Amino acid sequence: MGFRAWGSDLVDLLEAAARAMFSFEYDLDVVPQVESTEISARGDDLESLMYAWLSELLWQHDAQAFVFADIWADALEAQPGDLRVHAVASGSLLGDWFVQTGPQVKAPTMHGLTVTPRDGGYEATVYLDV
Amino acid sequence: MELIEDGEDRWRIPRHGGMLVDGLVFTSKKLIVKAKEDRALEQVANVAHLPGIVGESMAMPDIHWGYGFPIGGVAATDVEAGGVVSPGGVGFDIGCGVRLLRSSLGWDEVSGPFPALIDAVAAAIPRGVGGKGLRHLSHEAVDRVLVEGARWAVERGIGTERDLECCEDGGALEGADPSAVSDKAKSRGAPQMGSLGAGNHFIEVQVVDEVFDEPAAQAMELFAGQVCVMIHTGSRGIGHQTCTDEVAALDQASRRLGLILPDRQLACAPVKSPEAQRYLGAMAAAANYARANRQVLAEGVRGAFQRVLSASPAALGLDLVYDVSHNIAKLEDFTVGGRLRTLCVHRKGATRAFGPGNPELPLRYQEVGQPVIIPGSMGSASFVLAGRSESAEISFSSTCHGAGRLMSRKQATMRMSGQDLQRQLAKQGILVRAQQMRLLAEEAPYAYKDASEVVRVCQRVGMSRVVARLRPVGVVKA
Repeated sequence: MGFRAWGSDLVDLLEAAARAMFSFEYDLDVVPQVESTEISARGDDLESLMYAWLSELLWQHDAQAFVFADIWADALEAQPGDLRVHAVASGSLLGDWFVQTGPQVKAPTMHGLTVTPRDGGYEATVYLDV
Repeated sequence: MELIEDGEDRWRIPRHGGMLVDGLVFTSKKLIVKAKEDRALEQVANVAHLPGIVGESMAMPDIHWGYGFPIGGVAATDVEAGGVVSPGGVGFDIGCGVRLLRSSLGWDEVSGPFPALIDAVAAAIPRGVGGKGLRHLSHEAVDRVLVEGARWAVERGIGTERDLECCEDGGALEGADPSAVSDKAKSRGAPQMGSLGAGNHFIEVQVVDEVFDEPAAQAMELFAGQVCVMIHTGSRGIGHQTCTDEVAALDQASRRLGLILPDRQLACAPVKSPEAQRYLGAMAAAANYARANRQVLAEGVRGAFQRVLSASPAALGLDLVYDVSHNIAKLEDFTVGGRLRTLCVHRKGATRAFGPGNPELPLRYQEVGQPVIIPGSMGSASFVLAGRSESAEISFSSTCHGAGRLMSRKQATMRMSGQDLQRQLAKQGILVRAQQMRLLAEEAPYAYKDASEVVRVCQRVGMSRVVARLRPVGVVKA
């Protein structure tokens, strides 16, 4: 299972990819925005940054039972061989209110993972293990 | 890419480009059609690029598209010749596998109270999103599970010594290194011990439909009309996180070592390197968690049977036939090119199938070979196979692991709703208890290949032989 995401810049792309990944499992628009959390990730190229970013989000979802509603990447540091992103997110802790609409994602994969500049922005292709 | 029919049920992909060996797919003319469609054959060729690979890059008859490796992939690398280990050759659900419990009960003794029984099993088994397990583990307990595997459970009164005897590696794979498992992975595993998960994982109550190999069935204490329980699950979040962590680490190592790989999910490092040793320690630890998880779930099932049937454990006889992983890499000795070598054998969606006389098998299976448990899909039959000695030369002692997907989850859900599927199966005498009806159709029987065709191919090729067919009567899923 996978998705293709687009963003006007790298921050926009990371946010779109996060929403795409969780949208397989549930409807983000109905999640109460009553809690917040922070996410940090780093990679040494665009693909490893995307992999680390999605992995960190999934860890918070599975281990911290955080159900994401919205995600804002608020800082991106890009040095050669060292890309870092920081984000804040709103949502709720998993509870009886939660309605699952699709399979839970186990992990992002490196298989076929691409992040490339396109039309002044970025495009990513991501395959997920479910 | 060239694909040559190389004898009955054998398809060869000649070495080309950066491939170090040929690809070899064991499958029938009927099943090869799907493998051609979903690019799984390309993945067989990609795996042939792994440094140190020997023999062929193989695939079992249940081959289908995976991530990096195809599902059904088998690859062995020569440790002394710089052979590598790749987390992508094990998969995210490290140690995922199947265990089969036999019983002393005939279906005629259980069919009356069966609706109550399957309800009780469903009530006893945590599953799905948020899946907190039957046991919440402390940080210290997680570390013990990672080393002791199923023995951790048995030493706490969850199961019997016989369970360990009938578990691959006695219930615990050696070389587990809890320090190689990240705190993030442990935090995912701590609350999930004794939980089923989701996707294609299940607990099924089954009835032995037909016995094909009486001596082997007797050794496994199986008989026609007998009630059995099959449990299919793995290492839950701790395995997923361990694979996630290690793919990233070995991706860096691969690039540092200058390895040229056609797919980053094939990230790898020589088995003797520190990175690979760390992965193998973490993988063994996660595999041990999976074995403990199946052990705890089995005890949950036994408890449900005892309550509903008001029977003692001795009267039920819910003993373990075997527990075996189908997502794992192991160091095993095989003769290649006339010389005994230590190989790192990756089995991703493939099952070890040792033949009779293998010293790693328990005494009770020494004459008949290792039991191999092949889950079908709800509504279709599962199988018990026995490993054959010839499999050592044919497939590094490997055989198939299941039916293998035929259509995507989305395609499956478009054909029928979960409710309709549940009703259809009930008409066939199969009671399904699912928490997420919307997801049920993803795992419909029509979404999978015919397991009977898969096991027939394995028998014809000589990897394993069919011992018994089991039909489902009750299914518990997320």
